Amino acid sequence: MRRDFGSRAELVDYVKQEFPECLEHGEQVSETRGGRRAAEALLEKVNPDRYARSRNFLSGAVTRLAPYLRHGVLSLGEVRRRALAKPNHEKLVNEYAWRDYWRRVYGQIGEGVWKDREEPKRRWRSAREQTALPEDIAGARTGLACMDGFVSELISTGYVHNHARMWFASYVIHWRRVRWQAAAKFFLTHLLDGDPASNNLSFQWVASTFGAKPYLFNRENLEKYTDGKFCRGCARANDCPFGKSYEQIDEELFQ
Amino acid sequence: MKPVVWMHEDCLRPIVPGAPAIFVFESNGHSLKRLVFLYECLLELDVEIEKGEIVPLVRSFAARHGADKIVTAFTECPRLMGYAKTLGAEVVNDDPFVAAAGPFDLKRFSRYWQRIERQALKL
Repeated sequence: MRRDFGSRAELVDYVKQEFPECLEHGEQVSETRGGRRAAEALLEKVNPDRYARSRNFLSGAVTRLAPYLRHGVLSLGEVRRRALAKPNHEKLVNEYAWRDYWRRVYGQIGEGVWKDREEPKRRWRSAREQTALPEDIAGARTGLACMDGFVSELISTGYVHNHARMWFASYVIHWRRVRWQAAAKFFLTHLLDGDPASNNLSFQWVASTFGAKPYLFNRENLEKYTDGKFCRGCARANDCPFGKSYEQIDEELFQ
Repeated sequence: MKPVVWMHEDCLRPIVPGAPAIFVFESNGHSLKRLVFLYECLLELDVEIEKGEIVPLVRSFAARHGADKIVTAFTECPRLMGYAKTLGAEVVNDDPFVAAAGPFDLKRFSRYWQRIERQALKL
């Protein structure tokens, strides 16, 4: 295949022409550039201390290294060593270890990452369960500014902050009672860093099929870590399904 | 020994310096944005880019270069390691997170972390 391209636009046109089937997932191209140079530039900026203090905030000092780690442009050994050379690196190294852990579990169970690892720890109040991702979710038309925002970002950039991935997974699985596989497949298709190990096993962690309890959140939590940017303009701000205490949410969702 | 490298999408970095390398795009449902990202990664590497079926294309690449060995990077992906087996490739576990030998108790992350923490936090 060709290696000579005068511009990124030329490359994109060539890829469209050579892989027309990919267009069924849309024509978006991420601003995130592939390659070692881009990865190095990000690696240089990694600040383990700021990461540890701010990583749960959407505006926090996250590394954005996931696509490069996913595709082995950078090795886990290399990023670990680079982190160790900087102060207060324990949390960041621990988070890198999660990726290594998911990979090892994948190595042990293979395609089993698509099946529940364990029984879910709680039963929903309603037994109704959907196996396909509802169109309003996939089309960013739920009316919930946060969830629609996460989906729009996923589709246009191939990136979603880790905390937002957890909120989205929790909403889809527990509030909408969609089988986690449907949401995992959707993310896998659009994430630049999508891989069956980290992606599916994280969805299972939220679902409690690979963890001790279902992961839940409420509006207060989401508002805090997003600096309120979704809630301010949300059409459903007065009808927010997350605007309750954890006890109320638990009572509402589970038996 | 004259090796060639079969580079796959789980390890887009050189693993045998100087050895000819090939990457094959399979038809595997990737989005346009992922394909562009992968292609950009490949353009920075000295690698021949092909599309189609991995096994015959890698075999013919190895034959063309008169190679006596195909080398590839270890991945936990069973599909890719299946191709490696069919190709009779030597699998290299290049720069793992930690060198600790298993088996590991993978029931929960906390148990795994407890086992590797000391090594992970040491240069």
